[in-house]
Amino acid sequence: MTWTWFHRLASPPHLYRTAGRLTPWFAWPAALLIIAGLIGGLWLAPPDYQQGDAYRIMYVHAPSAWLSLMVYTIMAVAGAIGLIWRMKAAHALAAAAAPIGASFTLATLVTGSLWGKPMWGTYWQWDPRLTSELLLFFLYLGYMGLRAAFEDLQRADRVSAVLAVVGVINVPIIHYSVVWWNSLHQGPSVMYLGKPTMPPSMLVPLLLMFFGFTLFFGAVLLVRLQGEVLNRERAARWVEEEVGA
Amino acid sequence: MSELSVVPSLVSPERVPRSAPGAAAVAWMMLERDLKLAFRKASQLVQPLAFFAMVTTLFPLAITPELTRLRHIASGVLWAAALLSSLLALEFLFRDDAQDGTLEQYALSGRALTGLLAAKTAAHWLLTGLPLALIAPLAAVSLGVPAHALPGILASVTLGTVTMSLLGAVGAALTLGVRRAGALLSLLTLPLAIPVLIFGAHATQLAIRGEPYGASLTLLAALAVFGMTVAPLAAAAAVRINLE
Amino acid sequence: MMRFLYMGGYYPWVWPAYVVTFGVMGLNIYWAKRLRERARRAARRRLQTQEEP
Repeated sequence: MTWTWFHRLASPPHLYRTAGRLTPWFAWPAALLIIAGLIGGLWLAPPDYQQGDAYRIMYVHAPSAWLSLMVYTIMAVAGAIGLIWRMKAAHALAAAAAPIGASFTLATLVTGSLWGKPMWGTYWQWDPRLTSELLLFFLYLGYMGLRAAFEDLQRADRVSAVLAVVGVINVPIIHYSVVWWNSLHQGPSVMYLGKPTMPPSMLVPLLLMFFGFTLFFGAVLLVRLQGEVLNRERAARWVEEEVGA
Repeated sequence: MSELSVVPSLVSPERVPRSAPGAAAVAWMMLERDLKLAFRKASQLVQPLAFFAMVTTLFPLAITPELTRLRHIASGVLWAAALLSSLLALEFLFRDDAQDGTLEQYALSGRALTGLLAAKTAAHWLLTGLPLALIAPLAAVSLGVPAHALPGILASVTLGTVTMSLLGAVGAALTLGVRRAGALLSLLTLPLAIPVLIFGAHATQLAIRGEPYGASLTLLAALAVFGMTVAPLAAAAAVRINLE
Repeated sequence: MMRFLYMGGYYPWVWPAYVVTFGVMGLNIYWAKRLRERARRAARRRLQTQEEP
């Protein structure tokens, strides 16, 4: 097992260049998949027999929810790697990921409440999934707030990494306690996900959207990563080559 | 690259001489010191309690003086007030020691910082959490809670404040280098405290209704034990980073 | 076409959901590019101030 690729990625110039080269490889497939998913989800898939056309909100709601959780996990893992191996590149990745995750968490909340209005009759229900998502949004805000509170980037990186690790340990505890709390109060939960029998015409666009959103996240992450890597680099020769002063 | 320590030490710490007191004795000394210091400034101890009493007074004034109706919201009022007042004292948990350099000395002492911070957290709980748990039944009575529910309230708030102190220690350690960290500290700590709120309020509610609440208490205890294992480690890591 | 836009009567919720999500995606692209651009400009400035003395 060779770890050279890992060490190479840790070197800022290599990471900067690789990120730049990879970006279109994420961006274009993302665009294609999302457009295909949109056509499939909005046009080709039949209306649901219970929810009519309202269920089509799922095609943007569910992938956003997936991103919101995945990004937090990535942030925590990157933070842990950064702490353990003192790897600046991993911290740069965590810093790049946070605002993307937070924005998709917000999108999940808004689309969830827009879906809730025709289904529940109100824009907000204390449904376990939406409630956990709201708490996740607060976790993101705390993480970004802590980061912003430090002048020194190195310290901000490492302190917020500790928070992300503590947070990610707590996410499942928070989620299950919220689910448990909700089961006590018999909240109405009629969201569509987890329904076992989805016909392929509905399922395929959803999968396309899942992959499309994930690749989209990758593309945006790589662009931000380039910025974060540059911000962490002081007066190195490669920077001069790259930005051409 | 080769160094695999999660937390870098400031300089390589001195070896602790053989004749020095053991880890438990040091933790005990730490606890004693913190308690002594705190009792010199008694007003700091009373303030969170007064805050707790004040918040519980707001609800009857804002909603209704009828005890039959207050009883329904009592568990929520008590727990929201308890969480908020245990946040109140957090900012000072490490602040004084960080400012006069004591914390740095601890980090350099060669002792495990984890144990020292655990002792500090225990002192903090004795000074803020325990008094809160002791006056919670009093506040409960003022909200129309029947007497048979009081042991349950005492037990659940006692366990809940343990976890709150541990979470708070992590939050305070993270924001050690931040000036005016109050709002940020709440934003960091409260989402993590949601499970405590849920299980604690549920135990209280069951106690008020006269139903068995053992299961929720067990869950609260589980959270406290889990916090005891993880929180001092995270706090020590954060303190070291902030001292560098 | 009108039937498509009507979304079986659910248009007041379906379309805003899509607008919000794609708005968020657009903002993400914009913010990411702005971050990279600012970092490049800051790096250039640093390099120039180093050369002068």
